[in-house]
This record gives sequence, C-alpha cells and structure tokens, in this order.
Amino acid sequence: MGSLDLLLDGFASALSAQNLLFAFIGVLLGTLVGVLPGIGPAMTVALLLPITFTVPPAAALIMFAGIYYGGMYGGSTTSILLNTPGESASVVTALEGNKMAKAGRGAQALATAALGSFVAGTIGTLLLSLVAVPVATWATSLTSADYFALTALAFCTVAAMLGNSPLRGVASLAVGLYLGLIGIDKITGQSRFAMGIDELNRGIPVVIAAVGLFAVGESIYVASRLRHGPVNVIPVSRTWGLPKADLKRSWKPWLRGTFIGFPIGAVPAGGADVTTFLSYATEKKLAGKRGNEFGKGAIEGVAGPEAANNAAAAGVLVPLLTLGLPTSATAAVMLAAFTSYGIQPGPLLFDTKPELVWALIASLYLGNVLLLVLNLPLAGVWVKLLRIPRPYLYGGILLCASLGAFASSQSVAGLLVLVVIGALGFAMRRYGWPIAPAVLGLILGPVAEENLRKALQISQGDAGALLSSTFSKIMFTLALLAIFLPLILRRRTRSD
Amino acid sequence: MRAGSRPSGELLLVLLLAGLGAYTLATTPSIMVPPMAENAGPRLFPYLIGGLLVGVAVLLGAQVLRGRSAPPEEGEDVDPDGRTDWRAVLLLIVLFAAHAVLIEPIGWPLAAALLFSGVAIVLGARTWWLIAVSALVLAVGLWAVFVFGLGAYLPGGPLQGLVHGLA
Repeated sequence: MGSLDLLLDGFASALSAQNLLFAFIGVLLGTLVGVLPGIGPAMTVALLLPITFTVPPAAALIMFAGIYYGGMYGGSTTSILLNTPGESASVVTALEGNKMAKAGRGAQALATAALGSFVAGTIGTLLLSLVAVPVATWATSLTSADYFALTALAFCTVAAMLGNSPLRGVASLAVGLYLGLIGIDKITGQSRFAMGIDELNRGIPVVIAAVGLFAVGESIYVASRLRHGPVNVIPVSRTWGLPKADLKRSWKPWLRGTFIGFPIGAVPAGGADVTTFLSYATEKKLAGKRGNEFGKGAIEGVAGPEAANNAAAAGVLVPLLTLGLPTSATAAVMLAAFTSYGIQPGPLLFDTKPELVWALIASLYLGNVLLLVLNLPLAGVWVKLLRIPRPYLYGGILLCASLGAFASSQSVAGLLVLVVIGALGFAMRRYGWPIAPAVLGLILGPVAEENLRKALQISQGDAGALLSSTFSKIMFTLALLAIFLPLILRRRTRSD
Repeated sequence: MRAGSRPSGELLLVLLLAGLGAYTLATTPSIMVPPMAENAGPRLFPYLIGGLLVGVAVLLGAQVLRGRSAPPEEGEDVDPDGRTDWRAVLLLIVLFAAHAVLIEPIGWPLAAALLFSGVAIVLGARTWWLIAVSALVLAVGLWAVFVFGLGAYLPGGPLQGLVHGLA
C-alpha cells in the first residue's frame, strides 16, 4: 500500500465521531492551557500528557496532536495581548504583536497569527507526510555509531544555541544527562545512582522531570519575583478576520516562515526559537521601505515568525518519528508520550504500526483546521483567561502539576522527586541556565549511552569505529562547528 | 569578582554541580560489572558524565568569580527589577512537599485544596471566601473528572466514603 492509501486510512480513523471528539478536546485543552501566562508549549504538553494516558492509544495520539498545536498557538495569544513589553522578548511574536495590539490592531495580529499557523502547519504536515517514509527507509541503514554521532550533534547544538550563555547550556545538559543515568542499566541490569532508594531504580520519569522543571520550577520562579498590581491585558476589538491589505502583507511572510521553519525544525539545530528569530530577521531585511515599521507593529513580524514556529513544530516530528530522536524539549516530552502508548518511534515504526502513525499524521491536519475554527471565534474567551489574578493562576498550575505527576507515577515519592526537581528548575532560571537542554539530556542520554556501548562492543573497544562511516564523520564535524562557530563569531563581534 | 560586590549565589549552584560530578566519579567504581560486559560496560558513560559535570563546573565557576553572569529568565509575570523573594520560594517548596505527604492520609482533593489556597495566599490573595470556594471547586472538580470520567487512581480520602455512601 502506498503512503497515500495509508494516509486516507488514517483520515478514516481520525474522522470517526469518537476520535473527532478527542481531537476537539485536545485542541481546546491545548489552547486553554497554552494561553495561560507563564506556560510554554513544552509545559502545556507535559501538564496535559497524563490525561491522554487514560484513553486508548489511537485516541490518545489524536488528542495529543491537538494539544501540541493548541499549545503552540495559545502561547502566541499570550505574548500579543499581555502588556509587558520587552519581557517576553524570548517570544519573537511579542516584538511586533504587542505593538500592534497597543495600536488597536490586536485582532489583526491574532488573525494573522492564527491563519499563518494554519497555513504553515498544513504545509508542514504535508511535507512531513512526504518525507517521513523515505527518511525512515534510509534510517534503517544507520548503525549504532551513526546514532551516537546524531545524539552527539543534538547535544552540541541544543547546548550551544539556546540561551545567552552556551556554558550554562552545557551545565544544564550535564544535569539532564546525570538524571538520565539514575536507575537500572538497560544493557547489564545493574542499579546505578539510585542511592538505595527502590523508587529511583525505575529511573526518573520524563513526565515528572518535565513537569518539575517547567511547571513547578516556573511557578516558584514567578513567585520569587512576582509583578504585583493589576494584570494589564490589551483590549481587543470585536472585528475578526483579516482585512485585504493585511492579507496582502501577510501571505508571503507565511510562506517564507514555513520554508525557514520546517527544515530547521527537522534537523537537530536548537528547536523553534532559532527559526522564529531567523524569520523575523528575514522579514525585517525584506521589508524595504516598510522597514521602519519594524519595532512599531509591523504585521510581517507577526506573520513570519508564527508561521516559522508552527512549521518547525511539524518539522520536529520528522526526526522524532523516523529516528526516534527528539530535537526540542517539547519533542522530548512527546517521545515519552509515545513510549507510554506502547509506540517506539524509529525507522521501523512505519512498518510495525502504520495505522497509528498515519492516524497521527491525519489528526495533525485535522488539528490545524480545528485550531482555526476554534480560535478566531473564541479569542474573546482566551483574553478573559489572561485576566485571572496571578495568585489563583499559579495556585492552579501547581495543583495541575500535582495531579499530572500523581496520576502518572501513582506514588507520593514521585511527588517528592517533583519538588526537588522543581527547586532545581527554580535555581536554574534564577541564574539564567536554559531549561530545555536538561530535558533533552535526560531523554537522549540513555539513547546515546546505549548506542555508544553497542558500537564499542561490536568494535571490541576500538574507539575509531565511532568515526568509521561518512555519516558519523559529517555529524561530528557539524557538532564541532556548532560549538566553535558561535565562539568565533562572538569573539569577532567583541573585537569590532 | 568586581571589588565590593557580593559573590553571586550562582556559586552555590556551581558547587552543587561540582559536587554531583565528584559524587558520580566517586561512586562509579562501585557499579557491578558483569564479566560479559567488561568492554564498554555500565561504568563508561557515568565516567564521561562525571567528567563533564566537573569540567563544566570548573569553567563556569571561573566565569562566575570573574563576575560574568547571565540575565535571569524573563517571563510575562516576572518583575525584572524585583529582588528575589526567598520567603515565597521556601514557602512554596514546603507547601508542595506537605501536600505530597498529606495525599495518602487526607486524600488528594483536600490536600490539593490546601496546596491551592496556600499558594494563593503566599502570592498575595486575601479574598478569603473566593480562595476557599475556588480551591474546593477546582480540587473536587478535577478529582471527580479524573476518577469518574477518566478512571484514574487518585485517593479520595473522606470524599471517597461520602461518594460510596451516596451510591
């Protein structure tokens, strides 16, 4: 059967009344939680993950696709409408979106973000369905040494590209790698670093680590320096849709954003942040005489990065589904989700569980449509959510963190591990250590170790075997570049 | 370090990192190696990571001592000029730990309601009836949805008996 037939089968499964309902609930919950201030896409996915454990695998995947895209979209609403300029610079959409909202063009900013997400998400999913099978077929020829090289590249790019200080990125990665060591060694069955605690022998669950680092850590950090006083939400007019003039200015940035976002999302290169910055810079450069509008509310500066962000979200699924390699924190949480549904992403997935993968891909298309249908009319509701007084909001987030962690670990010890990791997450934020490398280290560390040891066992301990194939040589060269290129560039800008 | 400036608290975090690395390197030799796995066994990766932890801690420690720090993370609800409120940090950690320990004896709904109200009060909420009502509605509502709607396991404590009594 060709991919198209399989995709149509996937649609048939995703379009059943029950699965459609789960897709709807997923998009609704994803947007709802994603809109809440202080909750990024990775945290949304981690918080809502335990809910999907309680439904059958196909429905869970479909719901999860909705949560993924919903969470992505919800975050942009927050950054456009919350009146805290400058602070959300990490979200590129806020740069222009916030200015647009202040100038009374909030509705247009939200509309271009929603439509751009839809266009990019749909094209991105289309590209995913085209390249997934060829990439998976090619990936079956990869050896353990090649896999180890790939993980090494992912570690280097993630640590070096995120945050202001690469060294702190490496520190965060090392913490994650250590957490990944805890538990029973998969190859020899030896207990490692469990400190005699039986609970730790099973390893640190990714859900606990992600909820701890993101939800608990973030809540404690916000509590430590909460912005007091009333919440300042920019009012939005009731007219929805995009006027022709804005549409004309938006469609090219949407497409450019899509083609910047998808490939960069698909290679291990630091995740969605990089793509939104690239798209923003591109639009600014191409704006010509409109360039002076940037910084004052240029719609291109919302349309491009939003599209890039969503296309990258689809791109990330390529290595995740075909190689089993997550390249962003959100993808790391998704890998944990798939494993818990009994699905092992990797080259064989498309052969062993075609009906599930194609149902997932079909629901990504559907999720995008639902997102558009839901968000344009419901934006008023999302705006109200932004007004929740902060003491109640963070009380609620911590309550949901406990719910998710307890529902997935079924033990009080799990919650105590959650507090310890939460405190660590707070300390890391306080001193500007990026969080994402730790989550990736935790999930990719064991993958790297397994492949490294398998490769060395085959070669009888000869480390040269790690560099034996052309592919692994290219990967290690790129990894070295990822570390040293930023250092060289930085030195040069400093001496200028 | 610049003259007269206080050593950054980040140094503590770096020391923790170094300690973790030292602990890893020190305990790795006690991991049992089965005779079949002498080549690339279970000790190899821990040694690498222990080394990485210590190495990063040394480099980062040098940066911190020279006064080079990274800006703390930004966020929508974060006041960038605010000082760290250590009291709130400590209270939140204690509240969450207490909540975890209380789940088994008093049930998740009540323990969660206590966590919610405690966090809200620490963060400055003072409308008592609103705190109490929203805590109970949220905690009992979510518990009911998860237990009866989704079939998850969450100890109900006294509520469980109440529900069974009604049924």
